[in-house]
Amino acid sequence: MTPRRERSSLAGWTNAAGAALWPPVVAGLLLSAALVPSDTTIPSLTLVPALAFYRWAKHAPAALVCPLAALGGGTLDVLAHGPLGFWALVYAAAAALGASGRAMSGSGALVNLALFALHIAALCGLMAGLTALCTVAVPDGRAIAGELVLAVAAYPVIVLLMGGSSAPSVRSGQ
Amino acid sequence: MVPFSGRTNGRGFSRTSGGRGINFVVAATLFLCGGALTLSELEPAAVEPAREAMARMLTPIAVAGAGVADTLAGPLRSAWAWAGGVGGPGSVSADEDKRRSVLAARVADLERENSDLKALTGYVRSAKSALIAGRIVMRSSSPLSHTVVIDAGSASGVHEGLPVVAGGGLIGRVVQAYEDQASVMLLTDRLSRVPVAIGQGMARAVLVGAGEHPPRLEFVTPGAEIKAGDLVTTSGIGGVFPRGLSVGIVADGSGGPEVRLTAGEDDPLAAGVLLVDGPAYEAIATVSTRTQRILGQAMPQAKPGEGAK
Repeated sequence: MTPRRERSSLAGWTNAAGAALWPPVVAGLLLSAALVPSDTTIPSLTLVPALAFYRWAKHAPAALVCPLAALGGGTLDVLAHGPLGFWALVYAAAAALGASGRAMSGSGALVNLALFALHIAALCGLMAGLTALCTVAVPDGRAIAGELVLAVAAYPVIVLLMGGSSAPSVRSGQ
Repeated sequence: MVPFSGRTNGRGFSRTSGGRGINFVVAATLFLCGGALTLSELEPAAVEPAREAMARMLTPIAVAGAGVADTLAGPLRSAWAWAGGVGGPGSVSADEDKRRSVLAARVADLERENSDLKALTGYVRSAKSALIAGRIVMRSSSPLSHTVVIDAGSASGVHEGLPVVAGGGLIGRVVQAYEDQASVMLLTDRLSRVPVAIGQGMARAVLVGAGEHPPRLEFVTPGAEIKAGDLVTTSGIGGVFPRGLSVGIVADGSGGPEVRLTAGEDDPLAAGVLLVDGPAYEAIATVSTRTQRILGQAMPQAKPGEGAK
């Protein structure tokens, strides 16, 4: 085996290991979001799985991740006794945004960062809009900002847990 | 090896036939989620069977997960307590000890008072009544709903609509009873509506859940004088909640009168609860002067003494 083929094989195994980690990581984040209670001092963790689905959709077919994200969100809706479809829609939208940003994944870091910021803003806008519709009241900006800060802070950890930038098998297909 | 590359050719929503297929799946998923949300908001009864079926399947798993998480968190809590973390689990444990001693004193007080009253009135037990003990095993984290799951279910006699009491006051009612668990909608849930009586004049109002904010008082009896510090109890109107359960005290809010709940939501996860079935609620609702004094010392956030006129 030539050194180049060896490297390619190793990268393949790393990719496979990273990909195998994604479902348990996403499931763990969903469970944490469902079980860690939020109160006035601790923001809710419910936006964190959205970013996990966002990240996942950058590397896996949207046709797989989007329905899975909806299922995960639906689970959270049921466990929390909230409006059925709320988190399902937010998580599915996050997966769709992640998949839509895939075409730009080869661009520079600055472009990727700007795109991420844009997607996060869109996700927060969707969440605030849905909250306003469901509660017929102006959503609590502080609570949403708290969730956002927590989710963005957790994003590097999610990236690390999900295989960092070594996993994007899609890139190798480009 | 190209795992997960699928037919997207690495370009997200591509214009190939595979890409169109993916676009369709994503669009269909988003449409379904939006449809479920719309239906859930406009016609909750329509999605209730699906929700119930999913909840029956998921709740025991989540409760088991919460148990595992609690066990795993045990050593961390001990380490935190050992390190003397300010406001950490160590102080929660101390609070819990204090609360337990307060409740034990209160139970003894109530039992004595109850037996005295029974002797005075020649009470003969005529109606079936029951108190069911439970423990909160899971809390929801969604900002849109405030529910907890308790470890008592239909096997213990729990049924939908039962009022749930903890920490000296009403915390909510059972909205779904499974065999070994039940979901309880808290008073802070935006869907919660509780008919209440306020102060000595017994003005009537409806306590409306407001999510992260304290519950509000709406539909107050016209002309009724309500002031901060008035005691709020259940009025019994409507028949869902029995009359006389302690709820909290009136506080000034930016958008009108609010209620500071006797049983705060910051109770520890392992907080015990009582489900009240039948006339036994009277025993819980009766808060003697001595108990008020004890509660006033132990739970300054509730300040039950303020409402005494």
